[in-house]
Amino acid sequence: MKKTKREKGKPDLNIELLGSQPIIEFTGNRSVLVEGSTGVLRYEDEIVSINTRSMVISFHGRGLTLKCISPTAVIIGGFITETEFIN
Amino acid sequence: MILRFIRWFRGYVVFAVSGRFPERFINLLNINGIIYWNLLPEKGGYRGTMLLSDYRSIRPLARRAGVRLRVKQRTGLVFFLKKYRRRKGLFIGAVAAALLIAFLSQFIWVVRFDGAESLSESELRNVLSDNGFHVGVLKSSVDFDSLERNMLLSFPEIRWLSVNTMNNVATVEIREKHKAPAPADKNKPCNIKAAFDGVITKTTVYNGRLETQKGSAVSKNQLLVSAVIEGTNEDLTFVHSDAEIFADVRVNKEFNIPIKNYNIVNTEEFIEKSIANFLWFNFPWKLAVPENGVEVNNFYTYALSGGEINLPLGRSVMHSFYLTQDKNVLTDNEAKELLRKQSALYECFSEPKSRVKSRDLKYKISDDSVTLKVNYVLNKDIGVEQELVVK
Repeated sequence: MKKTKREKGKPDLNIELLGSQPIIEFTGNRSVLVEGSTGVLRYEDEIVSINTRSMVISFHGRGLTLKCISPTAVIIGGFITETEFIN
Repeated sequence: MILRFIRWFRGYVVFAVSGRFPERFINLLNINGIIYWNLLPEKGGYRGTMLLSDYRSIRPLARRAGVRLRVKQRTGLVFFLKKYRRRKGLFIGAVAAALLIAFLSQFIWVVRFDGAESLSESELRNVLSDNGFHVGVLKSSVDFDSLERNMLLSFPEIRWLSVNTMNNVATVEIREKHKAPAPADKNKPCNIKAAFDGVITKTTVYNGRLETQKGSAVSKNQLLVSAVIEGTNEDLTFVHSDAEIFADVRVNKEFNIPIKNYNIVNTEEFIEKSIANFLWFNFPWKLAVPENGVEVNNFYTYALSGGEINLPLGRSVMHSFYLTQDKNVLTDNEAKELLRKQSALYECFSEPKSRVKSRDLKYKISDDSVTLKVNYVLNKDIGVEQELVVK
């Protein structure tokens, strides 16, 4: 089915279906992209906590750094060993 | 690289954040759209880098987040200037240098030639100079179209010329004309006649009718190959004769050399005069007044070079050599040897296509000179084309 112009700009995955859920994309365990973040709650060398609308996501590891940060997304680099979701 | 330069130009600071809620400060920065980078956690907070202009505006955000900011490092032009603000000479020198470079960049300091194979570079330079284009000329004052046109008019050998400037270097691109060989007019009928008296030794006729034969004696201007060919029906055809007629020819040459020679000899003693060249100006560097006497001058120009480009700073040196007249008296044997060499040079350069079958050398020594008479027997092509005019 041919997509309309408006539909073309949208991703295939309908975010509305996910509601307020964040989208998390790992690249191995060296980098993680969190879309839908609302702020950084904790920023240390071994733990980074990101607040989202529905939960708090904590990444544990070594040498964790905020590589890139915007009002709605965060990229964390480092050696990630553990991910924790706190609802 | 460009980004780093922009950051350096605008100035940036490395700051440390510490306090009760340093993470809140990050969120406030994001909300307010303030750009920072290299955010690295450290004990009790973190460290980041920010443009100086942004850093000046984040104090209220730090107060709201309850954090304390400390500048750890300052980098950039602003801080550099601040550091050296009391050394005004540096700034004046830098500005003066920048202005000087900008000013001197408006002129041509190097003229190069590309593609001049047979043309003399000094001649090209002279003509360019006559047309107002020389080292030290203001680029904007040159009418390149007119210059190229005048150069083409001055040198008919040039088929294409372009003067390209890049920074202070002017490259004169030249393409010379290819000299086409003169087309032989093979359609015009011509006879072949003898250019010398001689005895025919070999005949090769490509076109025309042979009027002599091997072993015949021929005299100068005698017809060797005729352009007129009779057909079977007594009709006449005129052709362009083409042949090689070799004959043994007697040639007498006389070489003479005076016994007493007066040669001008360089004494290797010289005086040096030099001029310092800077931009458009010439300053006397070393002066010397030559004594009376014959002299020969050699010019040298030394320019300070930066890589492949000569800078407009150098020295022109003139060496004036003293010359003396040297009297040289030859012995008979020396004179004979020199005459033999002269005859060998004659054979080599004046008769390059002839074969010397024999040579008879006779020396005649007088009081003031030695003469060599040589009777050659040369085997050479004696045929010469002579156009046949049909009326």
